[in-house]
Amino acid sequence: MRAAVIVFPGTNCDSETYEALQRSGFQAAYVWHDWASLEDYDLIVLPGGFSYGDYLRPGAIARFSPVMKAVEKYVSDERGIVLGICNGFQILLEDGLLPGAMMRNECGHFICKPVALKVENTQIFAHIKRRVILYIAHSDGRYIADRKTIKKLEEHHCLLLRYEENPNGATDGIAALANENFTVIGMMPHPERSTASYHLNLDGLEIFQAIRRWIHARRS
Amino acid sequence: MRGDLERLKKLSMSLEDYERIVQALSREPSEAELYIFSAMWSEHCGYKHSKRLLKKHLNPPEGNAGVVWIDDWGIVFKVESHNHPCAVEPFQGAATGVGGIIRDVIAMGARPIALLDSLHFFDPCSHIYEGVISGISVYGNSIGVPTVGGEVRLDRQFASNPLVNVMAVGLVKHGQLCSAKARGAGNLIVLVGSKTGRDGLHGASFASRELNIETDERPSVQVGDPFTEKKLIEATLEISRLKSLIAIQDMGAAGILSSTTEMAASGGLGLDLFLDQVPLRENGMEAWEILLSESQERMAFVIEKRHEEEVKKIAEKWELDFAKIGVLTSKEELRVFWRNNLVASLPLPLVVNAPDLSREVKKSYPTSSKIAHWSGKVREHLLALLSNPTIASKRPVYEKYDFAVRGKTVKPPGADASVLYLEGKKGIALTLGGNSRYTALNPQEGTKAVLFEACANIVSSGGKPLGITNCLNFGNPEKEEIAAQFYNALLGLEEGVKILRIPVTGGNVSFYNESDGKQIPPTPVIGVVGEVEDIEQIPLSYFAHEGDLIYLIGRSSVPKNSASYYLSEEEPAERAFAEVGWEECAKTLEAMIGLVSSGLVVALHDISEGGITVSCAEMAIEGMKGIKISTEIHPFEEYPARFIAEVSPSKVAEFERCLNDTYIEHARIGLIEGNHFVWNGETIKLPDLKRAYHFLESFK
Repeated sequence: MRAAVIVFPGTNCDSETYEALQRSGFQAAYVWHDWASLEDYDLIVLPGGFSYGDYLRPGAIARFSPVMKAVEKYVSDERGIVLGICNGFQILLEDGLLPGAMMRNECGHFICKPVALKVENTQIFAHIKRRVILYIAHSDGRYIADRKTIKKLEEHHCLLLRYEENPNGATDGIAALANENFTVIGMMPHPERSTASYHLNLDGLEIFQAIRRWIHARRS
Repeated sequence: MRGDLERLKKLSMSLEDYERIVQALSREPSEAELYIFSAMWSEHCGYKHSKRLLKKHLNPPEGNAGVVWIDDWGIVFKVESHNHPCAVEPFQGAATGVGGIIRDVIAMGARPIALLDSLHFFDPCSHIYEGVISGISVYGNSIGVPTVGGEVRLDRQFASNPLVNVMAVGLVKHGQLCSAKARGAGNLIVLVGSKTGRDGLHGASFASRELNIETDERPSVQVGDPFTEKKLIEATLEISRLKSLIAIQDMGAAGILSSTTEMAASGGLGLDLFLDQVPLRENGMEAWEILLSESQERMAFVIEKRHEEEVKKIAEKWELDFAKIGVLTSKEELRVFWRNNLVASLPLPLVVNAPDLSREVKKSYPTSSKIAHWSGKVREHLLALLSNPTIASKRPVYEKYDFAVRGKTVKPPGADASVLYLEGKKGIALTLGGNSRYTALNPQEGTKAVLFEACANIVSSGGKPLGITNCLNFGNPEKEEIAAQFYNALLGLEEGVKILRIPVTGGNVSFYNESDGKQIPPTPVIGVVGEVEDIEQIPLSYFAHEGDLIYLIGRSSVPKNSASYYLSEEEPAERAFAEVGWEECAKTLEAMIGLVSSGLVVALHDISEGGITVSCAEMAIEGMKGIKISTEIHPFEEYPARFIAEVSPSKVAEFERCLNDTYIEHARIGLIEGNHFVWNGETIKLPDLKRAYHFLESFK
């Protein structure tokens, strides 16, 4: 199974995301932000970082990158799964591939720490443990959406992860979500930082492997 | 221009230096030339008060940063101060401090893998404290380099002169290390990065005199752009792999001027600079402004002639400016061209060799061998010590830093040294610290104690120290007292590294940390890189298992040290530093490395500020375990190379045998038991300790 790690100028979680994908059974490759075609890949990952310096708003400039046109086409063709982590999630929101928006953390500053997350019983994560501990590392991680959107996300079981103790003021403690047909996933925590024996834990590996199984299930 | 004292003063140039220049040139310098000397002969660039002494006593190898090796990997590391800019504009001062030291590491062809900061402030509510920490956070996080350690110390003496020392660590594969030594007349000097503006003019001479916040003429502090830095890191690493690449130098103090002249001079060559080629940010800049500008995010490269297109292509990919700004010449001369005029023509050795003003002022500082005693209760002192902002948990600080980006952080900040994953089973242990209380009382012995403390941190985290770097922060070296502090600190460092048999790989000196007539205490800050053989053997830094035994390793009966924290409010008549058996301390460190690699300790923490009670309390709080201690040992006294260890009952016999065989003093002082912290029968509840230790959480 092939996975692309998209690299924008300012992306900085590319190498550990690449390694995490390899550990999770994907054949990973870096794709530079000016690339036009993503047809060869089963999974597209937009990794964390500060694309284009996050100037203006996180993700606001990256969404105009040539590769995002290819990502949009990839999604509308239902070619595979798109996963945005942290800054990648912010880009997906800016691009409108996921509903809602990201605001500054309620505390007003950057937070880096491991947090406990409740894993919702969804199609993707049905078979992994119900509680994972993953790193968060962001200044702008407060997910917001209007009540109607949240309700719709809930009805379609699109909410994937929720914070046990809300660290950033996100609406309903939402930490990760998917679109309605589960082809676009956005998450603020960093699963790639929990995939090696020398990491805090291996909870991130479970997340990536669940996504791999989901790609497989969609195919058959 | 002769006698224009006002002008010289503005350039921070002494009349003596001016006369030296006139004599050497046998003529008056031009305006541009005078500016060149004002920068290159400043303390900041020229190391006038330190260069000779550093060479004589520490003799670090040349290069942008030091290197130690683990197998095939070079660990590149260096500390630099950004004290003056942080006093004026804390946020940008700290941000550009991070950017600057990162460029020293990439100049060696190494990928930056970690940052550490040693920060000295007074008030955790001040704009300096908040500005510096957010500056480091914003810049370090954006460029994707984890800030994994360091220290924050709060002391009244740093109220108007904060210290901001940043250490950057990089990784380079054997054979890919780059040098800053130019070769081959006719080869080209190219610039990659941001455009050049008027920012940071006079930065070098600004950092070379006492700070006066009130004057209008203070220079603009540089402004950092972490996004450009991130691109510059990637571009520089790509350029560093080109076959045609000869040398790299970052542009720091005195920008284009010092970076290009240093490369040429170290290769025994000269250079012609063409300032019209430099991409500028503003109109109407003068030649000297372009030469001295400290605009951030720029690098200088020496590339073989006719190969500049290769560099240009990489610069374009990363959307960075590129310019051919100079050419190497065979005659040791600096020539600067601007608008078709030759504006400076100087002998290069004269430019890069600032006059030596160093002095060897020997002074003896008191030590004491009187044994310290304690018979009272501990509660009140212990709670006060734990909530002292220097000792209290720095979690609210390091959680603002992304300490886990790159996915290699094995042991995060919080206790002792941090550890990063390297490859196989191996890891890299990193620490950075100073202790101005020690070095103020006795610069020579205090500096040794700082060095041993840094090495003890490495050992506690399962590492073996491989090499050290330093940042020596002092007041005005023209004063006799400061010169004595500096010289004696150097002697202490020299003795310390000899006893520990560990190389000094580089360093940085920051003088003139004075303002309003107040100077900082002498504050040498030492960074150490260690090798962790097996990351699975790294001891915990907190108590883990009920029933395990608690040991003190190192000397149990110690002399009174007036720099110890529990005495902080006292003003004893005779203040003296403890007399320390350094050879014995070195043996203890060595024995601990063996104990850890044999897997004989469950948890290990070195004893520093606050003595054994504070170390035990930290381990109890972090592990949420009660302990029961019964000992006559002084609860708060500080002495180097001492550790608290948790040992499982099944390993006790072997543990004791190892220490007995190597004649290392040790004492079983208690065990992990129950829910309370019990010291010689006196019970303190863990939540009380926890509340005190997490005191800084209220300053979030």
